[in-house]
Formats: sequence, C-alpha cells, structure tokens
Amino acid sequence: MKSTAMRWGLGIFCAIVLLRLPMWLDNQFYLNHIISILLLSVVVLGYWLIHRTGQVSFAQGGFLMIGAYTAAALMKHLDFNFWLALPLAGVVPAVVALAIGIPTLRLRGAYFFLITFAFGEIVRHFYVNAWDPIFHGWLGFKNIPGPGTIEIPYLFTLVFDKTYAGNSSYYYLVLVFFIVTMLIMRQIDRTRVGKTIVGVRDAEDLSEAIGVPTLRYRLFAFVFAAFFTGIAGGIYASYFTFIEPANFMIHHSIEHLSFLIVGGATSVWGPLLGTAVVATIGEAGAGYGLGEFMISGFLMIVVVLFFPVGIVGIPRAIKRFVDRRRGIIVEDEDAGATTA
Amino acid sequence: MSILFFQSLMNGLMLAGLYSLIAAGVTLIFGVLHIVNFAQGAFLMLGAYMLYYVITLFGFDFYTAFVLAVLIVGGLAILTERYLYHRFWLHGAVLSCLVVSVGLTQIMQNGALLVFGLYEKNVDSVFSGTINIFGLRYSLERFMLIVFAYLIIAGLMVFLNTSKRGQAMRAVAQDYDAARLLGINTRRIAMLGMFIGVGLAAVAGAIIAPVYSVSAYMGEFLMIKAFLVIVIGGLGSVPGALIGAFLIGMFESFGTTYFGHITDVYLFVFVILVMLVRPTGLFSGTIFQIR
Repeated sequence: MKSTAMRWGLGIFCAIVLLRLPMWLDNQFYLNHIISILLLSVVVLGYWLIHRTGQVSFAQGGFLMIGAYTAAALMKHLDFNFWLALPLAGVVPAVVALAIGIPTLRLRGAYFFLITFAFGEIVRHFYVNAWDPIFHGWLGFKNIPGPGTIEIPYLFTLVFDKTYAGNSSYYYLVLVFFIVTMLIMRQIDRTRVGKTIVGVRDAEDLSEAIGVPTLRYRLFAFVFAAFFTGIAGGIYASYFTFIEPANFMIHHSIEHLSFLIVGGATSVWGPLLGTAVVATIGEAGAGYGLGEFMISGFLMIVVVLFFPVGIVGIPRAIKRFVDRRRGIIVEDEDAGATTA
Repeated sequence: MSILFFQSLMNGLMLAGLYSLIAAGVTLIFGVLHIVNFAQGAFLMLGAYMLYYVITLFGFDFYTAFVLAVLIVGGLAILTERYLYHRFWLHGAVLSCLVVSVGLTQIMQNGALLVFGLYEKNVDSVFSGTINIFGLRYSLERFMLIVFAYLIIAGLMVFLNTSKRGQAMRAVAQDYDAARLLGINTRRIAMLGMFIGVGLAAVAGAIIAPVYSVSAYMGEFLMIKAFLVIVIGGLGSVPGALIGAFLIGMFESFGTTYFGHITDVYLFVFVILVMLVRPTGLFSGTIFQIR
C-alpha cells in the first residue's frame, strides 16, 4: 500500500513534469503529437464509458464532428466567443445523443454497433450535403478563431496563436480539459453510478429485475460521452483552425476504437495508454510507408485475438502468472470488461 | 408514367438489387456463424479490384474474370473464417468478432490504398447502349445489373431452400447441436456459409465495377446502406434483407431524384422511426426467418 506522502510526492512530480513539458520539448512536432494524444484520449474516454455499459458505439466520430462543426459555425457565422461556443459544442451532440439514444439503446450488441456506425456516417453526409452556405460542403471551415488571450495578473498569460508559445497554450488548455474529463470519468467509475453501469453490463436482466432502470443508465453513459466528445471536437476545430468532412472519415473512427481496444477497457487509464501507444507507433510507421491506419487495424486484431485485456491488463497478467507459479489461483476480476 | 419517375423506379430496383446482395451476405453469415462481418464492404472492394486486375493483367474476358474474382475473394473469406473468426463462433463473442472484422476492414481498405494506388480504376463496360421498356429508355448496362443481381438472389433462395447443402445450412442456423447430432459437418457448413456470404459481396463488387469506378473506399457507402437494410430487415433473415433492401433502395432513389443528396439523412430518420416500432427489425422472429 502506497503511503499518503508517496502519493503526494508522485502527484507533485507529475504536475511539475506536465507543466514544464512544453519548455523542455521545444519541438513543434512532438508538442503537436502530445496535444493530439490528450485530445483524442478524451474521445476514447467516451468510447470507454459506453463500453462500460457492455456496448460498443461507433457514433463517437459523428459526435466529434458535430462538436467541431457547431463550434466552428458559431464562431465563424455568428461571431461567438470561443468560451461561449465551447459548451455549446458539447451540448448539441449531447442533445443529438439523447434523441438517437432513446430508440437505439434498446438494441443489443451488433445491432447497436451497426446503427451507431450508420449514424456516424450519416452525420458526415449531413454536413456535406445540407445547407451549403453554412457548412460549405466538402470544403469545411478554415481560419477558425481560437480563444484569444487569457491573462491572469501576476500568474500567467496564455496567448493562443500559431507560434510555438501559442501551441503551448493549447497544450495547457487540452491538459486541463483532459484531466477534468479523466477525474469525472474516474469518479463515475468509482461511485455507485459506475458500479451500477457495470452491473447493467454483466447482468442486465437481473439489474432490471431488482429495479435498476437499465435504459436510463445506458442513456446517461451515451449522452455524457457525447458531451465530452463534442467539447473535444470544439477544441479540435480551434486548435487545427481548419476542419473538413475528410477529417472525420470511417478510418479515423476505427482508429479511435483501436485506441480503446489496445489500451484496454478494464481501467480508466486504458484510453490514455492506448492512444499514446497506438498513435506513437502509427506516427513512427507512417514514415516507413506503412499506413498508420493499417497499423491500428493490425494492433486491434492482435490484441483482441491474443490479449483481450489490453495494455492496462499487463500488470495484472504478470501478477497472475507469478501467483500461478507459486500455486495460488485467483479468480479473474472484472472479466466482463474484456469481451470487447 | 413520366420519364423521371420511370428512371427513379429503375434506379431504385438497381440499388435494391445491390443492397440485397450485400445485406443477404451479411445476414447469411450471421445466421450460420452468429457473427457480424463488418468487413463485407471491404470484401466487395476487393472483388472489384480482383476483377480489374484479372482483366488487365491476364487479359481474360469479363465473365471468366468475374468467376475468378469471386473465387479468389471467396478463398480469402474461407481463410478469414478459419484463422480469425472461427474461434469466436459459438462463444457468443459477437462484439469481439465485430472488432476483429472492423480491424480487418481497416487493414484491407488502407492496404488497398497502398497496394493498388490512390487513383480510381475503370473496367470497360460489357453492355452499351439503351434498352426500350414499354417505350421508355433505360441504360442497358444498369438493366443487366438489375437482372444479374436478382438472378443471383434467386439462385441463393433456390440453393437455401431445395439443395441438401442449403438445407443443412439452415439447419445449422436453426439449431447447432441438433444439426451436429444429425451428422452435419458444421465446420464445413461454416466455411461454406462464409464463402457464399462474402462471395455475394464480391459479386456485388464485380457487377458494379463497370458502372462505378473502382476505388479503395467504394465499399463504404454501400456498407452503410446494407447495415440500414439489416436493421430494417432483421439480422439473420434473408427474406427480411430482400424486403429491407427494396424499401431502402426505392426510398433512396426517389428521394435523391426529388430532394437531392440530403436523402441519406432522411433515410436514417426513416430507419430510426422503423426501429421505434420494431427494435429488432420488421421481419425478425417471423416465419420468414432463416436463422
């Protein structure tokens, strides 16, 4: 058991590393990669929360797109402030998720996956074909404004522009957003709601029989995930300053799903680890002419076939191996989370 | 009958035929193997590419190339079943297998992009000119596509209902254990189911290759429609897939003619409304069901 002092020490060490990171890196490429990892981890956390309810959603790419397009359209056409557009970029996908979730969440397994896949694609069709003067079809938005400048006297000044310092500001913004999402997700997972969600996953009929409104819990997870995914989309639009429908194609969604599968769904750390590992391998492989998307697909298959618990399952697998060598047999905890 | 209406009707029939081929394949594989083959669209793309390469590299005529392409893709499907899907069969691990087939889609589509190149390929038309139907003109190529698609579907229905293998396949779909007790070789039936199911997608890819152009992501939009068809028709029901394909094809064709490309969005709303009434599809659990 770790002592309180050790925990505090570790926490302060991590905080210093995370805060000083942009100053040490001094490299636009690595900084951009880290920002992408943190931002996509939030999207993958959405997948993770829905996976907790025992289903795999493929609609998250659609919610990301709705969030990005909502923020971009509000800021470009109606001159909204970034800080006003950002919550709306979360609320609009959440409302859509509520409307889509009520009929579809009654479906199980494959049906739900198929209909959410169709939804994700239809969202793109919508933005390509509907209201051309607003969404500009295949061209999308360019020169999407950022949050401007945040100044807190005597503490810090963050300027959001396209210089290295500006990207560092984005790094802090995304970091805060990621940590907040992570804390909320972890808190959900630890408290009664999360336990109930896992109960719904493992024994749905039983949960229903003892009076748990299973559909409502599923809906909660779906809407909640859509909200955070949408906000991630809003930051995405502002950080890259340019979005088009081709940024939200099926292979991106599959890649995000592979982040979850490779990272593992048994722990809240899975999405971050999976995103970091797969995105880094993909980025490295892209230089050798191997498509990063092929790598993600390959890793996904390998993990499902041979190591369904993913990266977060490695310590426990080692522990179990050691235990078995000593002749101790331990029941697998949370086995339901690995039926990808 | 106005020309526009007639054209929409015929285009609707064409789309319905295409969607039936793809959706019947998915639904057949689900019926026999209890897995959802997400990679169906990628296999379709592979069928079209195989057709193109058999024609351009070996100089075969269209029909020989067609048969060869379907056999090659079917062979790949059997390998997929043996080495990737088989372990999920009967384990109830629908989602794990779905994830594997999603990964396979990713590898196949992006691999096709790397290996076959970015540029779209064109296969020469076999039929040219127009055909007169009740005094109204329609493209002969598309007309032959409709005829071909429905001939294959009819062949599939005859196979499932009358041949010994087809009946064995339906028996496995209905009750795995009982089928085994009766001496049916379930492994072989699983392979055959995968071969036929993916073969249907390859057929669809090969017959649209001359009409559309061949590209790495050509299977994607067809796959979305096929999945909508399955949601309407019910997983595991071949007649449900046919009726669903007819509904979706007609809706899409008439909608695109009269409302434009936004129809895909209306189509999705329509499917959601159907789902509110019948969550597991219009025809699941009815007498039609093959599963």
